[in-house]
Amino acid sequence: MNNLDKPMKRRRFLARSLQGLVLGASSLSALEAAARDLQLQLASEEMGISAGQWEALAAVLDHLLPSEPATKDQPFRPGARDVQAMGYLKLVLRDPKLDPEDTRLLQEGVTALEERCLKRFQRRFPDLSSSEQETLLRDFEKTLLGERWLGEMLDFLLEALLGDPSRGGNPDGMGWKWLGITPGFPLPPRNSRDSLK
Amino acid sequence: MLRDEFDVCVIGSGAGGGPVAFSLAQAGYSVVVLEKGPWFQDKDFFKDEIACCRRSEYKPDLREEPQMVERQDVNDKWEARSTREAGINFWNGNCVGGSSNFMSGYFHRLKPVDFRLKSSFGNLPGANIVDWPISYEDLEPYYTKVEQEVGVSGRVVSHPGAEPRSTAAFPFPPTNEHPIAKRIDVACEKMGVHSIPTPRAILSQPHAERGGCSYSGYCGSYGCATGAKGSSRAALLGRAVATGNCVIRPHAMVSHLTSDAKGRVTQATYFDQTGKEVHVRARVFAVACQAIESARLLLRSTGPRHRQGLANGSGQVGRNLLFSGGGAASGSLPYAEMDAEQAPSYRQIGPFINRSLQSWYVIDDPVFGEPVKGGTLDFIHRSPAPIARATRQVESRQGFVWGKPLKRQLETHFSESAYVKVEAFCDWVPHDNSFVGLDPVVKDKWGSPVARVRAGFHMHNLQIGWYLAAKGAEVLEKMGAREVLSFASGSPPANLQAGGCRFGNDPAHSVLDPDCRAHEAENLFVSDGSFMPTGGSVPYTWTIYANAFRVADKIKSQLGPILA
Repeated sequence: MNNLDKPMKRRRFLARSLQGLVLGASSLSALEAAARDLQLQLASEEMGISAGQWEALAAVLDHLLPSEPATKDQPFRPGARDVQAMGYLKLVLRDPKLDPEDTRLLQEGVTALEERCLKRFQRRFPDLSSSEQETLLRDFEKTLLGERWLGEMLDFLLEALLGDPSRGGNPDGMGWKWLGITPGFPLPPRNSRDSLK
Repeated sequence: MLRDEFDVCVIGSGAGGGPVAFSLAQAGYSVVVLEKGPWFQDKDFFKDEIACCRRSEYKPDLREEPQMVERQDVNDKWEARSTREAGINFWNGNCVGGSSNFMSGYFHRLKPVDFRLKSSFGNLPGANIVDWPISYEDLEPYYTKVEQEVGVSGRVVSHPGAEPRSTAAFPFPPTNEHPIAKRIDVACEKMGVHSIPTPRAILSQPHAERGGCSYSGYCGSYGCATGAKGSSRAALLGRAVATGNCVIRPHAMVSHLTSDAKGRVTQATYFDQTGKEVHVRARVFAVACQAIESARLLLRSTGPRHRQGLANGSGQVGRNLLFSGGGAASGSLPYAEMDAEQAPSYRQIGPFINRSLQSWYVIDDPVFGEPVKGGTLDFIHRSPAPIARATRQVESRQGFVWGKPLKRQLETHFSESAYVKVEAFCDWVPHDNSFVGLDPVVKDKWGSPVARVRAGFHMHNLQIGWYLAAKGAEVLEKMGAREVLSFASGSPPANLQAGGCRFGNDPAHSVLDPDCRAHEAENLFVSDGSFMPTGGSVPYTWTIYANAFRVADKIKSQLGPILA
């Protein structure tokens, strides 16, 4: 049973209306401004995700796997930005073989997270402190959508950390080196997936 | 113009199809092999976890070719879901060589008792256990043939449960062993049980045009880049083509077998890569698409004498589907508890553990009353695949682990211990709620009804699985392993499929005769694991290979002398 199939966990798209958000009156003007920003960002949508949402995704990835620069006592321990998790995520979303449900879950999740963020903190996710981000994500994790979405984000993040570098993450095997992992051989040629880039 | 007439048409190119194509082409018959997937070479296989195991790139796209799986809900009602949603995938290798490209190659023969399970232990309530219509002695020469033709490496040792052999030794010496093997031997000796070197379908040294094992450490689930793994592709099909008598057609999805008024199969129809329908005529057809898909092909191939599907007058096609019952145990061996010389040798990736226990193949324990059929324990490394291992570190009872706590957990997991797993294999008891049929609604991209699998398990599987897993855990404890866990499961391991077209003497209760020829279609053979009425307590691949070589001999006899 060593080669039991282990497909990427199926994440089911949860249909949840984005309409009907109830806003607190005290924060209305701040929210209106933020909403205008979001509207502007929608113009630069990439793969169904706005520029603002990409920023939120980057911040979430950084929070889930923070970078830790080397110190005198500690070696370098890479985080999401070091392993190019965002770039990896964009490549994954361009892969025609990716199940559209996975893409929809990603879009749905980041939209819902931003809504929650504005409602609770009247600021966008990247502008929150680390402890505020933690509070929001833990809160989001308690919902069905949040749990699935965070599961998907962690899956992609670990692929970026520990997948073959030809896939777009894990530059120079940085994740493998950090954890002392011996990769198999032969590995795919480095340029084997250029067409995806 | 594409040739459209052959002596033999083999549908499927894995362990059930390869020996038929190889043997008949060698004997001089013209053979066509129709394989639905592409034809990779050794050089196309890389150790890319995302390709093999995260995106399943060697399997069909489940959006285009799903299967349906029925499971029992809390009210005991059978609910069907698409494999696209259900977290299980019964496809195991959609390419020339089939799933044998991706096996781990733990090769065990069946034992004489497996051929007479009913007469040895009786039937179980709600089960359909029968004896096989052939004996171990009938299959033994073919097990030996597999050792030579496919390539099995190992070391023969004497032990109480050893099955008879016609040769003294394996043709290839064992593959290199990890120090954990010695630790298992010592523990087993203390317990008074026999640890056995596990035979492997992996060449320990180069042979003919195949390379020896490169000890990359990434074996099961990954294609082999050196040809050392005894896939049907690397071991047999290349040589079949080299005879000049065998043609392999990849990207050939067989949709239908046409039969005539006498019930004989006359042609196979397949869709080629462009979606065009192509017809192939042959004197004999051998179906070997792996159990679920073989039954599906027969069921959708109706004809004037086969109104319920080809060879299904008895309604037996697809019934008594088998997986493998069992359980598992695991433990860790912390490097901190080893001396300075030992730890580096335990950190090695590459050498195999290669140890099995068959001391409980038949269990004689008062806990069960009478003796019962038990099974095999295989000791293996935890898969080195880092993404799969890391994803298990993010889950906890309190929710996901992330941030710096996740990073510390990854550092601990990957650096502090060696891990050992024990896999327990026992019989999947055949019964009425384990079968495959056609889904009434869902169709694949070619418009054919997809397979609908009900994979209910018999409680006996769990009882034996728990017993064996606990024995595995005992060995791990004796080895000094930490964090020892064991469990059994009733879930079907999707890569261990057999049954569905059981062979037997009675046409009312079997699909195939003892030669694996359809009772109702004299030129139709099924040469994959579908023939097995009971599965034994080992992985199936060696038996599938051996029986396919036996079927090839039966086909040769039926075809008679080669016409000029």
